Amino acid sequence: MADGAPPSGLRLLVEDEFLPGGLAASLARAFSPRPLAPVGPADYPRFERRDLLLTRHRGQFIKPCPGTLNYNCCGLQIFHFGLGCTLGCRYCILEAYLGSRALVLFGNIDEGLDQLAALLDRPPAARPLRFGTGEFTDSLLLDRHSGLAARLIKIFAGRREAVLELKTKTDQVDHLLNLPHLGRTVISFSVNAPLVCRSEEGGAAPLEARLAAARRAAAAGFPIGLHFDPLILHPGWEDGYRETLALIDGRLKGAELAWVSLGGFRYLPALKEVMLARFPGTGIYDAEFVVGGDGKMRYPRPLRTRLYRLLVSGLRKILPPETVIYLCMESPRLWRDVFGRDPGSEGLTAALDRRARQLAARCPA
Amino acid sequence: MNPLSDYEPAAWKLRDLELADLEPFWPSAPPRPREDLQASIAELGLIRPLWVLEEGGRLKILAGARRRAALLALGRRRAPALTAPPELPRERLLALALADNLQRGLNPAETALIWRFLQDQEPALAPRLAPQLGLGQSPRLRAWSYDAAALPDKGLAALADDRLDLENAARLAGWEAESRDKALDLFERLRPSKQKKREWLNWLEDLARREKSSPARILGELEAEPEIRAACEDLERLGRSKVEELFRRRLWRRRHPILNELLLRREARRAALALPQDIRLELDPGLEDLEFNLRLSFTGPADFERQLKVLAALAAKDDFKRLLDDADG
Repeated sequence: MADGAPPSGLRLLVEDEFLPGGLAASLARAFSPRPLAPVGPADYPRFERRDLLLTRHRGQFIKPCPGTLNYNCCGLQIFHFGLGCTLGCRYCILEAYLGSRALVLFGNIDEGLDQLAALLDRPPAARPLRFGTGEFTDSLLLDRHSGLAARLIKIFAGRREAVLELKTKTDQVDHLLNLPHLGRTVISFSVNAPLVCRSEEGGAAPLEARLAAARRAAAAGFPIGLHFDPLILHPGWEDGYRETLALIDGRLKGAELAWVSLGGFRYLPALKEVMLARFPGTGIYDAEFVVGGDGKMRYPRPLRTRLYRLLVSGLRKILPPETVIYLCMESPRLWRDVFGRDPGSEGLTAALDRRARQLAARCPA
Repeated sequence: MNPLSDYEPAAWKLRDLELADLEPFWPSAPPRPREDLQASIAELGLIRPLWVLEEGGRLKILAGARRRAALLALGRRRAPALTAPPELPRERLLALALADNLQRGLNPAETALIWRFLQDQEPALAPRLAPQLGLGQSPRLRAWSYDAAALPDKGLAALADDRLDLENAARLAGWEAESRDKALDLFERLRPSKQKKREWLNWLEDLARREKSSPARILGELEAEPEIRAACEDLERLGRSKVEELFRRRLWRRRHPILNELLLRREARRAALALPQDIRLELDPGLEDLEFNLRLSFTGPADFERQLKVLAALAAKDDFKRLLDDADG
């Protein structure tokens, strides 16, 4: 059964300078390292899906979520530790963005962790509060082997007013459960309708397994995040999403839910050809789309409104009121149609920051 | 090594060969005799001999297939031909043959056929010869050329004459025969632009997946619609662009039934506002409605004041508010 773990046949290729120890040594317990001459992003496309590259990252380790033109952004900061994913979701935006099929981890991650620690040592008013790692890869896909999350959790546990979000479609959380996190790490799960999880999310853990993992993480005191993203119109979608809400209600009752995001399926036009070539059986691109204000294909606004309204009304019935429910990359118009008001990017960021402060303040350092 | 700079003509043997014995080396549709080439040969004779390769006991034309066709059309049975020396390295042989063919310029169909031949028959040499074919830098162009070469003669002829572009040709080559032929026929009849061809193929593929049907069947059903059938029969009078637009709208509507309904409803609401022609409310056809635009055309201050009154009344209308605010579209 799929659990979202990386395939066992991964070929670990390590740039010479990282061979002796550190991340390479951790990964070498699971994979046999082979030397790799230094490569850059332009070289990534020549590697294959089974390749795991350990390379030097020459760009910034911390950067704001790229957001998207004309749509509200939540202001999350990304800690960039690698690229790519082996789960094979049929909608994965990374396929169009990255131009790389291989997994990439940054061998010089210590530099990034030092930069992150230094940033978090600044007064909270002078830096962002929320940081995530799941933008360009799954936060926990390789984590049992890389051990990166434990290092991040430790950094955040020692800082005031800072929250880390680890976002995953796996159920690989057990190695984190005994860590002293002080409530400053949110473990988030990407969730969807059961049929979408089964048919469009490749090697990701089944929905039940993700929610079971969320329950274990919640029992260990971690705040939980849920991301209904991408919401996909499919036959029986209303019943499908209601079923997921019922599962959440049953499995996560009493858990500390930090936030829940909702995002309708959207994609760069180039993604469709790539995905249909790779997964000809997927039907998600056969729906009706319009070109959004950011150039991405989106469901027509009235259909997105129906999707969001169903989820928001369902979530409000089962979640405590302090849980922030928000739309990811949506237009002011959609916010008004669904919530009756548009907070703008600033208002959304502020609401999530308030929630992050509440979570971080629960346990004194 | 530059395969052309080391060319040693003395090693090639000039022979007088029976034209009927010669086979094509490069794959191509049978070369059509060209009147100007025939006239030139009739007047001046064959200026350059054919180039021939002896391979497995058979004689294959490396360069001169069109001249052979012209000679045959003139009733000639034999022609002088230079036979390549057996020791000539394969890469040099191919490069020379390509260079000779390129002198007259290859059309996209010929380029595609040659590229596919090289890829299939000479995979190690093909990348090195690609620049000669103009396919040096673009993997996508190479892939399209390779795929397009699988088209039947009808498609290759359209590609050769620029009635079909390489990208759409490559895509159609992957379709099953009936759908491909129907699409080619449609393109021939309506001559849509490259962009529109791509759009139509997208929609047809989407529909075929969604309806578990085939592009051929969908095209057949559309063409059987009375309005489209009548328009196609009256193509001359109506004009190609009008019929093309009618067909496009029908195909779009079938691909986007929900959007179509939403847009029709919105259009009805706009019409119900009964705005004068000089006040135009522009609505986002994608329904995103990130903003609305109002365009005013007026002749002077008095006209402008009149329009302001219309706008003030408009702002108070429930229909107008519903049009701008309706979450359902």
